[in-house]
Amino acid sequence: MRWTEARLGTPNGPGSVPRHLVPTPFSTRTRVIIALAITFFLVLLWTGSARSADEKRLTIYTPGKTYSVFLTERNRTEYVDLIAVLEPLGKVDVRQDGRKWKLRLNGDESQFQEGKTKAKVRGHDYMLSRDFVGEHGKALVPLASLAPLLQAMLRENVRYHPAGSRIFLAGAANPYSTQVVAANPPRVVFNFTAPVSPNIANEPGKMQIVFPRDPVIATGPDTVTIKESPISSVTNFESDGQAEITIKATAPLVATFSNGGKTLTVMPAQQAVAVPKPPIAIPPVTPAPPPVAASIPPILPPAARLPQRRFLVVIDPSHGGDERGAALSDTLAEKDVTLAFGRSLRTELQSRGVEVLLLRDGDTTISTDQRAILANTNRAALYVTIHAGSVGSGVRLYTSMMPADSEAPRGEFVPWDLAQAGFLSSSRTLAASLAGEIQSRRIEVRVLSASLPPLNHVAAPAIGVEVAPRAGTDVNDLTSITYQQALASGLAAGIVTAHNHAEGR
Amino acid sequence: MIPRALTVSLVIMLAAVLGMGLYLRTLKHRAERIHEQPVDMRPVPAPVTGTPERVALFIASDASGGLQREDVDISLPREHSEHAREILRALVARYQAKDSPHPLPGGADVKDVYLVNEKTAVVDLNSVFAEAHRSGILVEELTVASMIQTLVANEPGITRVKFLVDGRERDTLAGHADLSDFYDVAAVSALAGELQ
Repeated sequence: MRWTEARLGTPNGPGSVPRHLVPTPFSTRTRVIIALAITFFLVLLWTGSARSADEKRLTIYTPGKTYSVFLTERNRTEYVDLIAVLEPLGKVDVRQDGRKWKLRLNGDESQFQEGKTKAKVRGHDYMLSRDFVGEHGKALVPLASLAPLLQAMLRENVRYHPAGSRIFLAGAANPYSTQVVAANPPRVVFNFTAPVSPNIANEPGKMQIVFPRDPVIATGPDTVTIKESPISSVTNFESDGQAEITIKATAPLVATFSNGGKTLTVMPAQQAVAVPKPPIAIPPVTPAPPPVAASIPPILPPAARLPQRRFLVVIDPSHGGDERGAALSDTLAEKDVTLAFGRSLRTELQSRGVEVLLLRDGDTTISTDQRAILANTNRAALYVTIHAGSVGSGVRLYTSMMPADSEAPRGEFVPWDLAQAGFLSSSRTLAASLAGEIQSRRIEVRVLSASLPPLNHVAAPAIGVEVAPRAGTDVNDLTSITYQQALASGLAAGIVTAHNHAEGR
Repeated sequence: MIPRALTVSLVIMLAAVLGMGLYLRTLKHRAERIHEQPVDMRPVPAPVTGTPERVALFIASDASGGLQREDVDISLPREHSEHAREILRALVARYQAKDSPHPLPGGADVKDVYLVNEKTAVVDLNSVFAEAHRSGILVEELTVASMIQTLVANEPGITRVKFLVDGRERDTLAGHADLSDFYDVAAVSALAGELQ
């Protein structure tokens, strides 16, 4: 700060201030420098905020596909690149003549001019809410104008959800209802109109179900509060181009699919038994990890079986959701192969009259402990976990690699890590039987042991199946319907034969 | 007028900013050049001092899906833990060689082997070993079985082996082989029998 000569009050009077203590304003040059510095920092701040706005996205749902485009901010208004929006919808041709832009979508022309709100869509005048911006090959239109603009360009019904930045084209929507059952057991049932593939994540005190690709729309209230129940609230909301459901609870939750992926049931883990099938008793066993697995007598051998027990095969397509499993190729993930194969096996077993529970019928994240809990609480007679690999050829069947001296636990409760011990012999017998059936279909097969989670925690005969391409083929063979059906048929036949043998038929 | 001191300070600061910018640019180019050069990520071979010793390596093969014993002569330190670690490093180096029958990622290494007592060994792998390992039941089991069989063949008496990654417990090697618990050597030997 600069000090100069000045006086306040009368000279040398009682109100006068000593000359050297009076501040004066900065000189013009200094002020310019300070102003430039402040401007520089403001620009820095502005570019930082602009970058964060760029990370927002808009999701567009059509009956055939779902895709996202990034939003960008200009003059405090959210803009979207119209070319990026249109390209997945048809043939787009862009011509720029100075400040004028001509966009042709499947032959229909629209015209825009940089810095103008007036546009022409298929020969009709159209007003944008803000100026059109053309830059770096991008035709930026205000987000608020996009839905009516698309409606005019596509001649299709367009529905826009501004809160979640989601656009639904040509009736692409999957409305769902939320049904809360407060007791016996408490659960939340979501009924969708089409199968869904959400990502499900468990956190302490809540479960988050995120739909990154499905055009789901909640038809009920945004939030449902439940009193005197382990499940305290259900919240449906949309944000950043996706729909989400948050379920708050005081106990760990599990989610199961049914009805071909159209129904999602969420309930506390301890009570996650086959609710839709009331004749099955629900014992209060198998708490959350480190849990005590239910000591359930196996279906095999028959001597150890309880009378009138159902024969439920639990099929577990491994991985899913955030966990992709092995990258079998640049585009093929293990989680997709296991799901496709799991569905084939379910069809083959059901066609033979076997009751099946598919643990994952969508792209969902389920931990290995949750998989074992679901198998145990559903009182699986047989558990089959499906994997896929690119090394080697044919099929590998795995049983648990438990220490040889593992004693089968006795009593009502068994240690979590030894849940499989009492069933190991049955698992090995079953694996040998399945290998015979698969081999009879001229598919190469090996029986091995493996330390594969969650085999040790399953209180039922448990098998791991690793599918590799057939000899002389590549990983694309894993997606072959013929191969999947042949293998699924072999496994299903082997399971039924083993069951009949155990039943003494 | 701007005081002379302020002008001088501003000039010095601007010069410093320019200088640092140029220096940063030089460093960036240098780093890029280093990055472009092929780096041998294989672990450092065992020290050549000491008498060469014949050790058994159980080599996994992806093609056959099995293990095969291979005897090699390498110089090894006398200290028990270091001895075990260098044997496993020799195995890992074999997998990182060009003609590897069971490729492991470059940079994968065995950080330490702790012989807790006569029966228990703890193998500490580096993070690259697990993070870049190929995923699959068989491919992961081959790695685990080959390491345990090699360790036990050269350090007899061990009955339990535990794997850590960067000194910490890990659920699985690459999504399949369970690393959360101790491996029972007898069970692994049975698996090795199935694999041969």
